[in-house]
Amino acid sequence: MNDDLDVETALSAYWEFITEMREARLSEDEIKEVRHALLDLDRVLGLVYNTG
Amino acid sequence: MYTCGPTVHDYAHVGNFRTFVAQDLLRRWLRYLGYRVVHVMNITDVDEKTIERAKRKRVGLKDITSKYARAFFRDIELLNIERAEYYPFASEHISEMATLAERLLEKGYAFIAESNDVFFNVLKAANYGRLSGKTPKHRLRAKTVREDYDEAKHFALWVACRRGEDVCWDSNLGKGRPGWHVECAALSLRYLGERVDIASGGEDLIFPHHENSLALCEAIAGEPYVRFFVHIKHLLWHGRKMSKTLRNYHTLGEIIKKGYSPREVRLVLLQGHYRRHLDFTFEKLDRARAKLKALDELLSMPPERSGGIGARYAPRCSACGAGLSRR
Repeated sequence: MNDDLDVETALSAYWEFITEMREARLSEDEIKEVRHALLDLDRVLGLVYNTG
Repeated sequence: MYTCGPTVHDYAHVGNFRTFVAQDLLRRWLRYLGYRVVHVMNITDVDEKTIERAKRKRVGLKDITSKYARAFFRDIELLNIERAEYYPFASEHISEMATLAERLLEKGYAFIAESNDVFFNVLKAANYGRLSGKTPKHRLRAKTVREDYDEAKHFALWVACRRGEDVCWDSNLGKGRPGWHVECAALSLRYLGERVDIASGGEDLIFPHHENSLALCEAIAGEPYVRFFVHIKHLLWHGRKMSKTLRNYHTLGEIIKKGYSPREVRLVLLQGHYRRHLDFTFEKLDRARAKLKALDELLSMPPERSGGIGARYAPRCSACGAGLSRR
């Protein structure tokens, strides 16, 4: 397959983003947007779920 | 997309799940990009391993296969692997497999041996070896070759029922059961038709399984049958392939008993390019726990109204998205 799914780059950026956002002081709207962005990406990563 | 599913003779281990999680990532990514995905994953519930296991346990084949199929579906749910559109069980499609063997006989690709087994003649497949680089000459040297049937040049499509065997089905070819490679070929043709965009499995399936099943499909449907093959490299444990043969494997159930969550396992399995080996360690599971905690905290973080960070932080993780696009 010629086109690679570069999940390593994506995950690395993902955790960097999470770390930065946790350290930031966000407004309610910003938090909503961050959540929206994370959940949008999670359609691919599938990490946000409840395992009971 | 056609992916080779589990052989349900035992619990799958996390090495197997590396493949299934990688395929899940691919499937999710394609859907994210807007493709309509029709995903078929076969369940191998008739083969030497399942039959042998049932014999050893002195139970019926179905008793074994339904137990481990249930366990497999429970595990993929725990790992948040999206359900495929179809999970055909081999045992429910025996007549299609026999028919495929018959068609290959009619087309001159196969022959009936003295044993009444039906074999595919590899020498008739013009492009045999294109996928794996293993030509019939390589097969002659392969360890798995049984000399009695000159199997170096051939592989079984239909295995005739031997005396004392009870896992057999009636067919126009006589009583017997399908060979492994014909299972995937027949199911792929049945569910996805005469062209497949993506076929996938662990790297150990390149030869002989994918080479052989590809030869069968192309003998029927023409070439190329598969547009892209995606083979996922092995998961390693202390530098060696995690496998049942080496007895160095962990099942998901065992890992959960040690106090880790399936999410942590999923994250560890995601953390590596599918074409590179990935080491599995408990330290990685510990690190995954910390990362998921950070993610969960962010998702449930209360707002700090007093100190918004404004436009300095774009509300999108653009780099994450870039990583998920085509290079």
